Amino acid sequence: MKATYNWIKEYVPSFDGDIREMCERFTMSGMEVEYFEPAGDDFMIEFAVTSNRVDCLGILGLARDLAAACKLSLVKPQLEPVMNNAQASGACGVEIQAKEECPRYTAMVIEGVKVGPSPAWMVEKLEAIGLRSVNNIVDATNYALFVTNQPFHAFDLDKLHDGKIIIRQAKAGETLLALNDKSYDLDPTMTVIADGKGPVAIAGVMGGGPTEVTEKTTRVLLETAYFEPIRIRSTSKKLGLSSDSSFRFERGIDAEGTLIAAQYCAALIAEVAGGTLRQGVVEENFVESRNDKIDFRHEEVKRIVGIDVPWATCREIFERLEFEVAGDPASGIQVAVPRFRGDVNREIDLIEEVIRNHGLHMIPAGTNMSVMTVQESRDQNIRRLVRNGLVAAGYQETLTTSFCGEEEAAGCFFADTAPVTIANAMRKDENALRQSLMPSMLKVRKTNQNHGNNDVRLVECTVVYLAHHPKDLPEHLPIVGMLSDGNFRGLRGDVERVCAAIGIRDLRFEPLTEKGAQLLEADKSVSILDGDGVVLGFMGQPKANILKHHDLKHAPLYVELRLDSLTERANLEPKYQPLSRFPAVHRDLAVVVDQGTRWAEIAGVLGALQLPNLESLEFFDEYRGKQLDAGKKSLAFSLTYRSGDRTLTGEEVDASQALAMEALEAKLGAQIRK
Amino acid sequence: MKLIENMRKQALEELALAGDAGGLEKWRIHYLGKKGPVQGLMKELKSLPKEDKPVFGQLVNKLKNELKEAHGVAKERLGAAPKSGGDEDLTLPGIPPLIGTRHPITQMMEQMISCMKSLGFEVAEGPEVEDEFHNFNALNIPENHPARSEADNFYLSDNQLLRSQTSTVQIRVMENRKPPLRIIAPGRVYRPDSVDASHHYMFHQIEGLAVDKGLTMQDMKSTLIQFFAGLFGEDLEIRLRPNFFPFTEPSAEVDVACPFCKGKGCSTCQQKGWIEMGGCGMVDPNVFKAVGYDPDVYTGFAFGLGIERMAMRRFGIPDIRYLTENDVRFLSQFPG
Repeated sequence: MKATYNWIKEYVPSFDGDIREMCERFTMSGMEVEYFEPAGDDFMIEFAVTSNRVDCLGILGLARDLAAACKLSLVKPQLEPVMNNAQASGACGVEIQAKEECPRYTAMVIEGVKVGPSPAWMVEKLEAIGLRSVNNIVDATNYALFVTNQPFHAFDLDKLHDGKIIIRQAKAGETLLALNDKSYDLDPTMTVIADGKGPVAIAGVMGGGPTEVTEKTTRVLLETAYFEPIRIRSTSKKLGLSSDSSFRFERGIDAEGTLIAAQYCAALIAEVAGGTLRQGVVEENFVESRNDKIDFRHEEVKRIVGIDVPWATCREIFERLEFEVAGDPASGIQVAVPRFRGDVNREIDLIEEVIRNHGLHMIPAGTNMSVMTVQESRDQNIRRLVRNGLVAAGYQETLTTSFCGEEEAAGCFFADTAPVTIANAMRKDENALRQSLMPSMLKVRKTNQNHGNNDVRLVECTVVYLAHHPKDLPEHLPIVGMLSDGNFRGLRGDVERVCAAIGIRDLRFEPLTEKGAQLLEADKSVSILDGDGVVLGFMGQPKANILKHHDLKHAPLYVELRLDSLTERANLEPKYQPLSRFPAVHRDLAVVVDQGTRWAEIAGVLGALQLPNLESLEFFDEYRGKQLDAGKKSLAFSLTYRSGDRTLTGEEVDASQALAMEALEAKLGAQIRK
Repeated sequence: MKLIENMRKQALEELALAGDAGGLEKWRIHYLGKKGPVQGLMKELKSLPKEDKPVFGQLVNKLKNELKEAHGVAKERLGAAPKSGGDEDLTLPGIPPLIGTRHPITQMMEQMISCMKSLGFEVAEGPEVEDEFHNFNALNIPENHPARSEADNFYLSDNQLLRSQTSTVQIRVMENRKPPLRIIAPGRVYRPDSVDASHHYMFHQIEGLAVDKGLTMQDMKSTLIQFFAGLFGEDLEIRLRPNFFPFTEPSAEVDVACPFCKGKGCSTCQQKGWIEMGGCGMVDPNVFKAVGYDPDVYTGFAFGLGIERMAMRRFGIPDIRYLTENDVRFLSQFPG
């Protein structure tokens, strides 16, 4: 909303501050000034009017607010038109058929006007707020609109067939050539102003070309109406056409203030274009007048705001805002709010008016709020431990958007749900909610590839969206995604380490499930399970076609784990375990096995033996090479023995070692490498 | 047995004389090697009476272990001491470890959470996909309100959309809990804005809510002062100016005095001297009614702040798109 310093001051003449002070006053009472700039001898001020303050889309409304905030008087414009003796009703008729869409329509008739240029003072002000001067009649309606916040339209009365005004819904197939020289196809959801022949204006949006005021016009029919906001908004949107009028109608203007505004506008027309006004108005009015009074308990101000604002101050604020006050704190207070302040309906709204005008700076700092203890929920705690653990292990936390293309969004490790789609997506590749972090992570890898970044390690803890039943909100499944350019063992170690940090030490890595194999290469990937065989997640190399889609030169590895399952399994209360005071005995072993033999088989065989006092079994090397027969490899590992109650003898350990070697030879054909 | 004791003495004396890594290594090869004198002791076994053999063997093993340990200690001691003109180049650069980093938004968010936690506010979370009741109706945004338009919200199916504000969490918490309560709700929100240097369709907010008997705007102002002081430092000035939000009444905007120009006006604050931080206000009675709280008994305040803007200002990030691009060189700039 644009206005000017001088224009506002015209209605608050006792305001003696400069432009900066005016802007400061407005901003601090809730009418934010975005900026101001010189405009001739004046200043243009751009206001960010909040959506509740429709009344401030008129300069008189702004002036009223300034007067209230500064405790000054508002001086409203007074104009007396020259009247003639004829009755308005003798020159035109008004009939409202669309009562819901148009509850009130008022026509006034001004005769003997001389259309021509506007006076300089009017042109200057209009131009300062960015309006182009057209002619004195049109300019006067625009000027009056910006003063009163009531849109007007001037018809050339002699061009209206039968001098008739009918407000009705448009008929299918009707068109209108509007003032902007464009033709619009109308439909029955839109309201039109019609004369005896057909539509002459799109109600509340724009007038028609054929009935507009021209240099030849001598008789003007001035329209002042109230249109239903929702209908105007939908018409304006459908036609892709908005105007200063539709902007106000769709926000809801003062349905009871139309007549006063109309009289001002008619008088202004008569003043700048000559002419005289016919007696009376031609009106249909279905607006129910409202005279609600709000009960106001003065002590509530203190309960909400925290400080005492004396009743006399409250009262003055209300009166300057043109609210009618009756009663006093002892006997009870009633406040009647004028219709133009449709945002004030309740006691709490009155309290806001009080503190807004009294000044929020009047509230001092200082609080008696009691101490409250705060606990972190278990899932927040786990998410933080997992994320921070992986950051400590060298992973960089990413922030990716929740969207991807519908096809990519279909990929999901943990459910067979179809992705949630966005009805009004901005882009086709962002029209669905992801069900896995993998597409986002691969996209990030590609970005880094483009920028020549190597050895990328990424982590993100977030949710994915699984729609199990279309009527319910989708499940927000918390997951952690990891991407690594490192090798499989390194990544596995990081997974094991971060799980151990939350007390999960019995991870199992098993062949990929069917579900996992939809997204990962089966021979380069595994499922991650807990000790009870519950799938916690997956890790490995994304499928070749997916990598190709992302145009990645090198295959990164990807891990996705369910944070909800980790939270369920986590043990955040580590307990002391007695430590042995006796020495450990380490024995290294290297065995030659077929290349197809897996470490897990060796560990399995050794585990099954339940060797007495075996404390740990640690793999340390794999060797393939010329020194071995074709098709063979050597695996080296170390066994540590320790007893909790005595020093082990060499013989005991040797016996265990012998058992181990025997079993490996028998079960896996392993040969001890010496 | 005397043999063993002598060997121990001699070995330990020589070890004490070994002054550098080379000497130490020579000592190790000599005493702990397979052909060394300690191993050689085992040859004596043959000549011992049968009943002494096990004890002797054990003692030799014990000596071996003892010497090994002594060697380890000596090696550590030497390693820690500065080299005396050795040939190791101590000017070589350090081997860089893998450095992980938390995302700047996470860092900002956690700092805000920690400030609010110290004031007794607990983290609460809610779904990002919401229904119209929680995103609008319960927040006093009536049917046909322009804030519900498709231009301002990502709609999914009929009654579902991506939340456009974290205020939805207020409703979810109040539906399930009774006052007194103090929560903060950080999280993602979505609005179909075209992406440019300062706009993104997905961003983060942090919502605060306190409800109790007797809470006032003064408590709200004090809480905000303490919160911003925690973030930006003690002497920070804040101001409230009236604004409008459907879910609070009275409503206000929180500004902090521009920390760069101290209120004088500079390019960071667009010459205003103040930087807009977010909205706040007293919980609207209609919101309380929607969740079954009695507005005549309870009062409450709420505030909502954008995290991106604050993080960008704190870290000097000029373009919001860098935050979701995730170039690792960018991420590496914010260790923590």
